[in-house]
Parts: sequence; structure tokens; C-alpha cells
Amino acid sequence: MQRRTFLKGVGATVLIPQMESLGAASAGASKTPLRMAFVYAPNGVNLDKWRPSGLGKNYTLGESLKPLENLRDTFQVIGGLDLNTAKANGDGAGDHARANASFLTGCQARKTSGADIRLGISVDQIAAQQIGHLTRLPSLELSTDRPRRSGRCDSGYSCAYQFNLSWRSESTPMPAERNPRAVFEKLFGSGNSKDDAKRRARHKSVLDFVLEDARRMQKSISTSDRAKLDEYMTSVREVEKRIARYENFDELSTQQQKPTGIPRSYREHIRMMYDLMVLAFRTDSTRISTFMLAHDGSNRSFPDIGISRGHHSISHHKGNSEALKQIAKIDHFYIEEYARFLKQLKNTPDGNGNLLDNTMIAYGSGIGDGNKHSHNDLPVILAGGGQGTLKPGRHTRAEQGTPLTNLYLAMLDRMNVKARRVGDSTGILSNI
Amino acid sequence: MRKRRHKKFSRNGLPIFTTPQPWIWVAAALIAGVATGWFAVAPPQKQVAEKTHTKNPPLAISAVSEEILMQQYHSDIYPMLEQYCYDCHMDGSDKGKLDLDKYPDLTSMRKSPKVWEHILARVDYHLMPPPNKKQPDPAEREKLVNWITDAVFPIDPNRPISRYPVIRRLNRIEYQNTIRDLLSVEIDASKILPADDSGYGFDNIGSVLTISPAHIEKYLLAAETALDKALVLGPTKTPLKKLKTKDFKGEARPRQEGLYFIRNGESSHTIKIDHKGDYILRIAASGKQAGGEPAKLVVSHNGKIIETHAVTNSLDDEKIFTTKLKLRAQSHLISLGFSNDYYNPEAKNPRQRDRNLMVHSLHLEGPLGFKQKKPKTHQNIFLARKTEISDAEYARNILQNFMPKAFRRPISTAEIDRYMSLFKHMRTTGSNLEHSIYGTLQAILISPSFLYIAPPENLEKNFPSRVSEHVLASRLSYFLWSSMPDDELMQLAHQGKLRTQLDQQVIRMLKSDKSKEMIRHFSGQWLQLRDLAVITPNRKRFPTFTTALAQDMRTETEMLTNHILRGNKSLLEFLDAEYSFINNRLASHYSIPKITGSHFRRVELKNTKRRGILTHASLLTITSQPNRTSPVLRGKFVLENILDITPPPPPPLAESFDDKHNHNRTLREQLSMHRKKAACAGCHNLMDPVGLAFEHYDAIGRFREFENGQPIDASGKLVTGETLENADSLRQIIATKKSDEFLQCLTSKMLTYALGRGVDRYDRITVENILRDLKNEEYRAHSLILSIIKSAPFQQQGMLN
Repeated sequence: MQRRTFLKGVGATVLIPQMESLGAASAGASKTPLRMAFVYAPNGVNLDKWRPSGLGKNYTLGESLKPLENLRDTFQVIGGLDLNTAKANGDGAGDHARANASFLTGCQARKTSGADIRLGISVDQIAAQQIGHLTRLPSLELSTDRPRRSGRCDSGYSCAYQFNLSWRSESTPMPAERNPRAVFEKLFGSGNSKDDAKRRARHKSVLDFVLEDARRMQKSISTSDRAKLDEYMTSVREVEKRIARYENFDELSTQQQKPTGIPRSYREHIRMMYDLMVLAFRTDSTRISTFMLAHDGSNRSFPDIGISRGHHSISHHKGNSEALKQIAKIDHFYIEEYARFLKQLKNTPDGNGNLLDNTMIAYGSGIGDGNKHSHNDLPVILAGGGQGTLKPGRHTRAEQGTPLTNLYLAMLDRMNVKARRVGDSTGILSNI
Repeated sequence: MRKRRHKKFSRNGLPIFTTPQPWIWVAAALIAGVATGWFAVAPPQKQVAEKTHTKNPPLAISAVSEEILMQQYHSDIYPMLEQYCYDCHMDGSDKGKLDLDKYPDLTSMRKSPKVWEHILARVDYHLMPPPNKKQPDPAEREKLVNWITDAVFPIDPNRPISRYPVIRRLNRIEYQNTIRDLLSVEIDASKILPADDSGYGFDNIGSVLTISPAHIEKYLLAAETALDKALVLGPTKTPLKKLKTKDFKGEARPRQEGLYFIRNGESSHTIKIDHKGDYILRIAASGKQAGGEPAKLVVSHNGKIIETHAVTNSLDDEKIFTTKLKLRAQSHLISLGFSNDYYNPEAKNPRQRDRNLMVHSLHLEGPLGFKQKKPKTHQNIFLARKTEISDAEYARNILQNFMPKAFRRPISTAEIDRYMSLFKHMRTTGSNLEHSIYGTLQAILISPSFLYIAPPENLEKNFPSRVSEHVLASRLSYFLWSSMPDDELMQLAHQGKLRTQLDQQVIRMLKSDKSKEMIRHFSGQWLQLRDLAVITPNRKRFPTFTTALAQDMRTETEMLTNHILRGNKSLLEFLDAEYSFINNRLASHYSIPKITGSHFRRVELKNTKRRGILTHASLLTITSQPNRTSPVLRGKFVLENILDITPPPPPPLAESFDDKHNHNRTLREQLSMHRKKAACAGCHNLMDPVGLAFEHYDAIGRFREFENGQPIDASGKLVTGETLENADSLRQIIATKKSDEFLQCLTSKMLTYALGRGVDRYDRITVENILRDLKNEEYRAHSLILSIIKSAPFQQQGMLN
């Protein structure tokens, strides 16, 4: 299908029962809900071209952020946030895996290429566990890259760290979906609601039954294997809950065509995934989403914008001006698409305003300068109005040494999620 | 006691510190000079063949009593520490935060395995003592390494550590293959299931193969996809055959949209009918309308007009027109005609000037009432039913047949009863017989007994035991076939005869084409060939690189792997095979003349620039950057995957990349500047000369004499002192002097793949046994595979605790 057809669908042809109430897809929501999203851009940035100059309202956007110029009232650039758990802290190399792993968790990944993966629960999943039951999907994880290559990943870290942003527990990542069609079906089902209902009923019986199978098997295996089976059982129960939850919500239907699959062009792919996030928020199918662009350490080239070298390889620019120029170009590319996404949220009516007013989107990278693998003073943008609780349109700087996770804690607070901390957070970030 | 050194084991514990350990970096920094003999190998031990482990594998054998260890410590080890380490790490000096005085006895050492892992690695790789200090001689160094291994990482035969494979779920490949063998249908699991995580370089590692809710949802979907392909529920439909419009010859013009009639006339096609009966011809047609009457579609059978349809709909709106036909079992001529062409160029309305007919598509349905047989895949599950039995009895028959195959083990009556209860539940909640069975089959395919490969059975309390023959059958088949055991293996396991026929069965399995799966996935990951699917060399610089060529590169290395492993060749042929398997594309890539045709064939490589896998285009390409070669990546690849050496990781926040003038220099110059920095020198001295030796091969593996007009310089000197001319001299050094490292590397990789878990220091006896067998069997590939299969961890399971 042409992307155009698909896009037309996003705005126009989603049919929601009781069209006047946008909360229809969620259980008994009366107030317009607040949404929260996280977007990860890999490999750090060209800081000189990225960083704004000046503080407060009258700051000047850096060159790479220029696509956001027309939207400056809707976002804020927040400097000075650190991701301490992405640093080596005695674990040696592997900054890319660590940056990716700790971006939403604020936890230090246990350095292992196999057994005993351990990280921590990520901010989106903390929220999903508390407020996920309010929508059909507790959360929506999106990505663009086919996960993992063969061999071990970054310097002895398991690939799980480098290809997952979202973690539901310290050892279980939430695999993201990269196929637009699969995301679409998650939102709208197969298109045949009677069949879907029958399937759900069967799934309920089947899952309930196999849980008993697992319980029996558990009695006859060793302790370490038991933990493995626990993971199976927890997941089965979670899916049972999801099915039950699904039935509490009205069916969504749409006349638009399903996307057929993954577009060849990276830009098109990114756009489609952003579109789907807009769609998910707009229909209140979920209020929590993450989107991982490529993955940290990605060596993707960008033929769309005339860059044939790999991103990771360029990111080690050694001060070379040509490499720096190319990095800025890639940064600009990512920001362009981000801006397009924000604009789309802004153009979508929601409650008394627009969808962007009722959303908070943190965009950033777990690495500042890709050459040095620095994890301090990261490039971070917080977009959206947070239903009037945020003060966009500014460039602010957090106090030196503020963990990035303090920002997340502030977002959770606004989402009405009770959390004492997120990873290494030390408090709620104020002045945002 | 003395033993071979196993460098492999130095790698695992390397970097798991919670507090900074700056002495690591100090160590790396200090070896700027040439360290001696880092690869130096203990002379091969001429041991008498003692195949103690082949029949009844001992659990562990190398315990040295603590008393003896301490005696050795006081007599040999401590004096050595005093001589070589004292200045920096003893008597109040704790350079790099390492103070050896803290470890006066075995208890204190064993409490800090990570610290000792580091010490071991540094000593073993000749990174310590630093080059400007007095060096122990090779024998002393070896003694120290062996003593630390035994003392700090003991294997106690009386209390073996539970190091057996953890339960692991099927990965996507295994899932897909198992579905294929169980249901005889092909599904593409990579399109349905989430990607698998890898650990220790492989994607079949139990500990990292997690199951998230997303997995469960997708397993439900995958089971449905497979069952929907295998089963046909409900009454079978009347056969429907599509007739191709382009087969109809005559007046009409074939267009992309179909047959277009712009003049009166007909087009015909002869069809062959196998079964006599009533048929319905369904024709999708439309008309370009003009002149007051609709276009007419005339259907004729053997020259006789059967029916004329008035096609009133317009071209952009195709409609179906049906004609009934009585057909015998013979050939029939079917004709489509257009009988009322109209053309009036004078008509006022330009749209009313021309009448034409379009036939978009045709289907022939019938014979009506014909009872089609359900497919074989359906009948394999829905067995022939005796009329006198009840639905429940029928369902039980089906489960009794299906469950032992799906679970790869015998099934108790109680277990069948349980699944029958699910069947009955579905039957009483509104599903008919077929759908209730379908639901029960879906449960079987979601059950942990299906999804987990050979979970252990009947564990003994407090000591490990042999796995059952059924579990063994599954371990074998998932190792060699990446799929479930076949009937023969299951049969032998039922009879308890698998162990007694193990050798024959393994050879049989290797002969089967199914073992190509092992070749593909093992080589795809050991040698990272899978990366060829995702690698993207710069298109402008390397216009000859295509996905087809990338696939050919992979095929070449896979075929050599196949030839060696399945063909029972010497494993050393990986390094020095003077032949390879190539096709015309690879031949021209390699500038080898006179090879035509895209099929692969064996080609002798004498007098070429290629020999062994190290000069395969596959490896040379995956270790390059998109636009240039990367000696660092190539060096690292050889160290890690051929020589079993993991270079210590670079120091955190390496500040060595800042040189603004770097881009004007050649790669070799940049690297050599790099090595001048103390912090980088240690590891880059290890890696760079190895990688630079391959500079005669560009980023997609083509041979070249020049780069940018300059002759290539691939020479160098290994830290062990050997001088290199080029890749071939490196190959010779590895094949002659370092073949033990290579064999050990290959062994530990394959053991990892076979067990589905990481191999570590506690496996050293297993690895030693396998290597000893290998040596006695002239490094034959089958010896490696058989020894792995006969090893304790493969044959045994842990204990109940």
C-alpha cells in the first residue's frame, strides 16, 4: 500500500463508537487522558550543532534542531541531565549497550553476554503496571531495526541490552514491534470482530490450561530451571489479563487499509511508526509508548540523505570536520521526523485542545558526544504540554549532576503514577 | 599437576566489577613494548590415549587436595609472587588497587574469583608483569597459571557444581523446524515470533531465551498459523480452479488487466477435466459502454454457444457472470466472445463512441457435490475414525497419537486425561468436535512441554544423573538438526537402545540433510556469517557487491564447513584447505578464470591468493567498515573466533581518538600512532598486526596490490615475535604453531552451541577430554562431535535441590 493511503487513514477514517467521546476506547474515562512517550536516538549527537544557545524563552535553536523552529512553543530543551548508569563504573567497554539499556531504566546492566541478565524495570513499565489497565494495551513498544546480529553484542554485553529500551522486570525485556502491520493489528484486531471474540475465548481456555501444565512441570526440575518456568507462567498470566482487559473495551474499527509491511526506506519506516503512535494515543488504545530509532551502536548508513558511512563509525569522529558534518546531518534527519511527529500530534484535536497538549514526549540519546562516549549533559528534549503542567518554549539547564531519571520521575508524577524512584533518580525534576 | 592452559576461561569473568579497578588499565598501558610469547603454547603433550570418558563419563576428575595446593603455594608459588609481583602488589604496595597480601590462603582467594580471574588473564596473556620488569620464564608462567586455575577454581569430584544445560525454549529456527517435522507444514517463524536474544555468541542459549507476554501472544498466533495450514476444518469446499486469461488465444488482446475485446470475435482455451460433473464458470468482466446497448459476452463450449451475458457495468467496476457447464472427463474447448462491437467516431459525447469488452479473470468451480479428500497433513492428525466410537474416544485417539510426538516423550494416561478435560470443556462451551480438537492441539503447542527442549526428568536428590533416552534423543536432534527427533530416534529411546547405538545414530544423523541446519546455524554464528545478510558496503565504492554476492560468500564458507564437519575431514582444513566451493560470481570476485554457471563446485586454489576460511570473502567482508577495511575488527575477529583470545576491553573513555590530523594518514599510520598511546598499545599490539596482515583484501574481500596508488604493506610482527609478510604467513603461523588454540576455540564454540549454555572454567575437564580424543583421532570432525555428545554435561542432568 502507498504510504499516503495509510496516512490519510490516520487522521480521517478511524471509526470510534460514540465518536464524540474520544475516551470511548478506554474504560469509563471521563477526563481527557494524559499520555507519555519516550523516543531514543542512537550514538549521541554533534553537540555543537545540537545545543541551543542562550537560556530561557529567548534562546536560539542549534542547527540540528532547526526543523523544530515552528513548534518552539510546544517543547523545551533540557540540558545538564546525566545517565550515570551508562558509564563503565568498573565494567570496562560497552558504552553503547549500556546507554541503550540504562536510558529508560537508570540501572547498571550486569555485564554478561549470556546467563543472568540483570538490569531493572524501565519508566514506561513502571507506569504500565499501575495505569496500564485503563487502556486496551498497557503500553506500546516500537522500533525500526531487526534486533541483533550474530556474535556477542557490544564488548561482552548480551544483545538483549542493546536492542531493548523497555524492561518489564530486571531480567525480562519487552521486545518492540517493528512491523507497522503487526502494530496496526494490535490496535484494531484482524478486522473480523466475531472471529476475534471466538479466538479470545479459546485463548482464555488454552492459557488457563497450560498454566497447570507448567505448575506440574515445576515440581520436577531444579531451582534454576524453576525460575525459567516462573517467567513462562508470569507471561501466560499477563496475557490472560490482557485478554480479559480487551473485553472491557469497545471494539475499535477502521475503514483504512492495513499497512502491508515494513517500508524499504528508513525515513518512511520511521514515519509510519510515529503515525501509529499518534493513532494509538488518539484512540486511547494506550497512554504509554516507547520508540527506539535503530539502536545504540547502530552502524546504519543513510542513503536517503547521502551518507554512505555507518553511523557508529562516523560517530567516532576524532574531531574530523567532515565526520562532524555528517553526524549533524543525521541528527537533523532524526529531528526532522520528530518534528513531523509533533506536528501531527498538534494537528489532532483532543479534549479541549490538541493531542500534543495532552502528551509528554521525552526525546534523547544515552550518549552525548559519540566520540567520547560521554554520558553527562545529554541531549534531551521534552515536548508536549502535559495538560498544562509543563512549561514548554524554553531552554533550561538542570543543576549539575542531575540524573536523567529525575525527569522521568517528574513525568510519572504527572501521570499519577506513584513511584519512589526510577533507577538512580534522586528526586523529581522541577522547573520543567 | 600440570595441564594444558585453556585461555578460553580467562575471558568470561573479565569485566564484572562494581567498583573501578584502575589496575586493569595500568596493566594494559604498561605493555607498550613487545611482550614475549603471548601465544606461546605448551608443547603438545604426548599422552597415552585414555578414553576413560567415552563409555561412562566421569563427572570431574581434577581435584588436588587443599593441603597439596598450599604446599605448592609455599614452595613454588609464593616465592614467584615475591619475585615478580612484590614491588607493586605486596607489602603495603597496592598498585591498581591490587594488594596480594590480602590473599594469604585459599579461602580468601576463592572469595574473590573475579580478582583472580583478572590476575590469571594478565599473567596468561603476558600482560603482567609489565615488559620493563623482570619476566618469569615460560615454565614458571605456566606453573603459576595452572596453580591459580586449580587453587582458585577447583573442581571437586565429590561435589560437582551443577553445570548442566538449563532448560531452554525453542528458538525461532527450532520452532519452525519442529512445526515442519510435526505437522508437515512450513511456516516462517521469523515473521511471527519475536527475535531471539543471543548469549555467548549463539542464539540457542537457555539463560537468555526468555519468554515475555509478547512471546506467549505470538506463540498463540504461530500455533494457529501452523494448524490452519495443516488442518481443513468443516466440510471441504468444491474444487476451484483459476484459468489464466492469457491462455485464451484469439481475437482479444491480452492486457495486464485481462483480455480486452475491441472487435467482434472470440478467444479460446482447451481445458482438461478429470472428473465428470456439473461445473460453474465464473467470469469477472466489464465493458466500455457506448451506443445504447450493453456489451455482450458470449460463452461457448466446444463451439456451441451456451450463454450470452449482458455486461452492463463499466470498466472500472468488474462484475462476476456465471455459466453452468456439464463436462465429461476429457478435454473441452472453452471460448469467450464479443458479439456487438460498436464504433461511432462522430458521436457527440466522446465517451459514447466506442464499445469494448474486458474479461478480467476466470474460475472454474466443480464438479459440484464432489467430495474432496482432506489433505494428508489433516489426516495425519485427524486419524481415520471408526464409526462405532464416540466423539470423546475419537479425540482420545487423536491425542494419544499426537502428544508423544509433540512432547517428544512418552505420555501417561493421566496426562492424556488432563488434555481430554480441556477438550470436554471446549466441547461443552459451544465448540463443535473439530474446533474442540483444534483448541486442544493449540494448547499442546503452547504447553511448556512443547516449547521447552527436553526438560529434565526424574532428577535425583543431591547428585546429578544421566538423562533419559528420550531427553538424550531431543538433545541430539536439536544439536544436529535444530529440530525434534525423528521416528527412528524416538523408537530407539522407547526401547532403551539409543545409548548402545549412539555412534551409528550420530553418523546417521550427520548423513541426513537435516544436519545442514547445524552447519548453517553453527557457522552462521561462530563465524558470524549471518551478518552478511545485514551488512551494507558503500554502494558507490563497491558497486559489484550485491545481495546475491553476499549470499554466495555465505554459501562458500558454509559449504566448506559442511565439507569438513559432515565429511569428517581434519578440522585443521578450516585453516589451510587448498580448495573451496565457488560459483561464477565468486570466481570473478576472486579473479579465478574459467568458472561458469551459478552453481557451486569444488575448485582447487593452488597458486591463488586464497587458502582456508581466513581468506574467504565472507569473513573479510563482515570484518570491514562500509567504506574501508578495518584491521582492528579483523584482528579482533581472528583473536576471538580462531585463537580463543579475548583482548582486554579498551579503557573507559579512551581519549585517544582526538588527533585532528588523523584523516590525512593511511590506516596503517593512524593505527601505529594509536599504538604509541600507552593506554591503547597493549591490546592493539595484539590485534593490529593480525588485522593488517589482511590488507591485501579490500572491504569486500577482493585481492589488491595497491590502495590509492600505494603498494599495500601487510607486513608486521606479532607480539610473540614472529614476523609476517601477509595473510598467508599469518595462516602458516596459526596452522603450525597455534593449532592447539584453534582447536580449543572451535571446541568451546561447538560445546556452547551443543549445550545451549556458556562454557566456563569449570568445564575445563570436559574440554580437555574432547581435545585429547581429537588428537588421537587426527583432528577428525566426527571425533569432535561425538566427544561432545558423549561428554558429561551433554549426557547428564543436574539434581533436585
